[in-house]
Amino acid sequence: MPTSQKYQIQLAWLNSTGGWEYWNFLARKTYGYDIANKTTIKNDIFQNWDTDFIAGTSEVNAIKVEANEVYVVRSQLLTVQQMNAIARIKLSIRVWDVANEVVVLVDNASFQYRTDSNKLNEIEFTITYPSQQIQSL
Amino acid sequence: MAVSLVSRPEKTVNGFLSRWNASDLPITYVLSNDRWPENTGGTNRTINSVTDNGGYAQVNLAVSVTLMAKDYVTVDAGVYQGVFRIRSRQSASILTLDTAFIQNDSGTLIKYFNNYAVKIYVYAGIDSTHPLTAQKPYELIGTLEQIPDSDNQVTVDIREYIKAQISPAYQDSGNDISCWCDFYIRYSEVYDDVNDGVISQFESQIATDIGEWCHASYSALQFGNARGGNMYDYTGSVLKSDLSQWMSDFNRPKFINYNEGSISIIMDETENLYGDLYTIRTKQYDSRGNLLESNDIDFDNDGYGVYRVPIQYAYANKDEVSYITQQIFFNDQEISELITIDVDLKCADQQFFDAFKEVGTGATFGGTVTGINSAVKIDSAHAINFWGEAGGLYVQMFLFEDETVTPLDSPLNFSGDAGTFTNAFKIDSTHVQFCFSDGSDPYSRIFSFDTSTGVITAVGSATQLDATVGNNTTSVRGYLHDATHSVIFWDGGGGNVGQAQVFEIDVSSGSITALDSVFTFDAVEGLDLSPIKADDNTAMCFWLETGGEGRVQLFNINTSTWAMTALGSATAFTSGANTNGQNNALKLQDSLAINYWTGSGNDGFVQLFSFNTTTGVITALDSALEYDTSNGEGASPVLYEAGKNLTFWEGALNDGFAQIFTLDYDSGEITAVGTATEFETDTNFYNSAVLMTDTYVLDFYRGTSNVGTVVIFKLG
Repeated sequence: MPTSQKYQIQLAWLNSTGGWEYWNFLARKTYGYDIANKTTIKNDIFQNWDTDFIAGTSEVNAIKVEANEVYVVRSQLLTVQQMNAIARIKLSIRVWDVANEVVVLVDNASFQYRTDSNKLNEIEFTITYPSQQIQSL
Repeated sequence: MAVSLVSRPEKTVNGFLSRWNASDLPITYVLSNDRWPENTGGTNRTINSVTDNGGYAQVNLAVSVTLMAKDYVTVDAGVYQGVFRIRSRQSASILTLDTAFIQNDSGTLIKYFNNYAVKIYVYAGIDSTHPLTAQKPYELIGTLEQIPDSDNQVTVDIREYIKAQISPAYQDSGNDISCWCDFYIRYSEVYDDVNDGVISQFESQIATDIGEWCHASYSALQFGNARGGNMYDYTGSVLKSDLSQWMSDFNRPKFINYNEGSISIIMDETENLYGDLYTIRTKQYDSRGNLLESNDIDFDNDGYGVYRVPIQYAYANKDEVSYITQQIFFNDQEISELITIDVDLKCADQQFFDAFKEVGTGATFGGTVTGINSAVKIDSAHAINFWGEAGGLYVQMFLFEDETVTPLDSPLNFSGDAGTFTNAFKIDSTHVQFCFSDGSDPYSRIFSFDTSTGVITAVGSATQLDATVGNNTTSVRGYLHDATHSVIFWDGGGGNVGQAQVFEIDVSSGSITALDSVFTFDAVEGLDLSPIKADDNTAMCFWLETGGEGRVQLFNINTSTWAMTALGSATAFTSGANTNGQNNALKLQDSLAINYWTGSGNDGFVQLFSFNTTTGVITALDSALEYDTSNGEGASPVLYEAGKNLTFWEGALNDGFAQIFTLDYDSGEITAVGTATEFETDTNFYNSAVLMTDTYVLDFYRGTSNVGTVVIFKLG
């Protein structure tokens, strides 16, 4: 994965001793939305049959959406020692996006972060930002 | 005391008493009592006999007791064994038990404390002896009642209570009180008590352990940790025989982009006794391991606590540094381990280079300097400085090359008053104009100079700008409006009245000729002036008005008649007595200026101002930044690139400070970059800084023993 300063995201996380750790993740990120829930209603087009059916403007409407912006964060190549320390970000209860000054959540998936004798180590995980504020019906 | 403290959560390691605990591991107190389940504190009473009282066992004692009906006793006799309730009391020595009479017997009885428990009150916060106590004072977090084990002891774990006072928030420097707290307990015993036949809970006098408070950090040490849940290994103290570890999983952290960064460590309370500063000793190395620079940087001792220690870094070695080492000292004694931090500059952004450092060889000038310095850049290698001494005003040229300042020729002395707020500005490649007071009236004068010899010559005579009796002028400052006109502001008009006028200047004769008439912009008072050119038809001036408030206003200049008139009305940018003085303004771009001033308590303030030369409206942007809360006098800023000031000022204890400020031209927000650099620790007055090149700044000031001093700073 290409790395560059322009892709960077600096995260800080509380380690087990209570100290803040820092790392700049330099590989390309992937951006997305995690749609946790979407509530929809289905219009009753039978009541005005078959005008509504023919007009066909709306059959299903969303009335509530819950979503969070998520980034897939990837590191540059790491030494074994760096990997051992950075991997513990997955165990931290408090992760901070330094530039945006916001707490983010690191995904809770189990993961393998290193294989013995492998000298080229990378780590990838997903961080979740606070909920998107979306209007509802 | 029926309840006593057996142990608190502390550990003595290598003779050092460590009271720092990991908040996510058990934090235990052990307490003991002499009442329950074994009543070892009471006295066994002899039972002489047991008789039948209506079918119940009546014990006849050898002595009187205070036991009452509904009390409980533990009986140790032949057939009567165990805990019995007293059914009735016939006399002080005759009690009937709530058990059937079996036979006569003898033995002993002792009071049994029914429903016994040790009660613990948990307090957490920051102790009153700590300087930050007001931010998180002790609170009663909760109480718990514990029933002792068979050994009469209770072991209580209070970690869940303590967590109520710990809620980690991100902080990159200083004592992070969100991540730690102090705690202590109070304790008592409770049990059933009978009074007039009514059973109620009795609580003993509450003992306190407040004098032996302990600490908890937001930590969870791993299984098998040699200190259990004690944070000894991460605690720094001069009283320890070994050095504190840093609270990091990295054995060699790496900072790629120096936006922010810190390493955490616990500072113990023992340092608090000294009331002195911690020192971070930072050494910078190149990729070959050569030491580039070593710096000792003080940081505040805000009492004991969990400290976020910023990565200290002198940016001026940015092209060479490969890694740094960092270690904490207290009163020259090392208290932390040395940590090595890699620095990768390939990915550093421009913000990384917002830095400066003192370099090269400066110079001294003058005799006993008492007055304000007014420096002006001639070219990238020459600057001229005007200053005051008891004998009058002086001017001299200084050569700057190869990071060295050399005074040229000898100082030229001319009359004037050393205490005036003066300024100088360059007219052309061989002339400067200087504005000053003779102690009574405002003057201005033109000087020619020769950069090849350093000789400065007064051209013509000084021009008196205002001859009104009783001027008592203290501020005379101006600027070059165009090639042949200067605009000068002063306080005069017979008594510190704010005045201004356009003057035609002739560098060949040295004449300074008043045009149109004197314009009074403040009929009451116009002190500590700082005028700038707003545009070709407009002047702008900041000043101190009577009562001590700051004012700013735009003034129209008619370039045909050279008459000055008010444009809009004066804007008050401070309010209240003694909230303004020593204004020093710069124009940043069209319609935007910055002003530094000395405010309440002589603190340093700075703010951006937008202005409209059509309407005359001036708007103070964002809020003023109080950049020095101790002392901020005589600030002298240079704008070294758009949106960035390097500013010098006289700070606490008359020491010299410098700092970069980034300026958001849209929002008006001003941000101080890092912490101020104390470049002069002896004496610093009357700074006057000039930007010589893109990377070098000279600062002229009155230094140690009142000797004129000029120092060199390199940017980036």
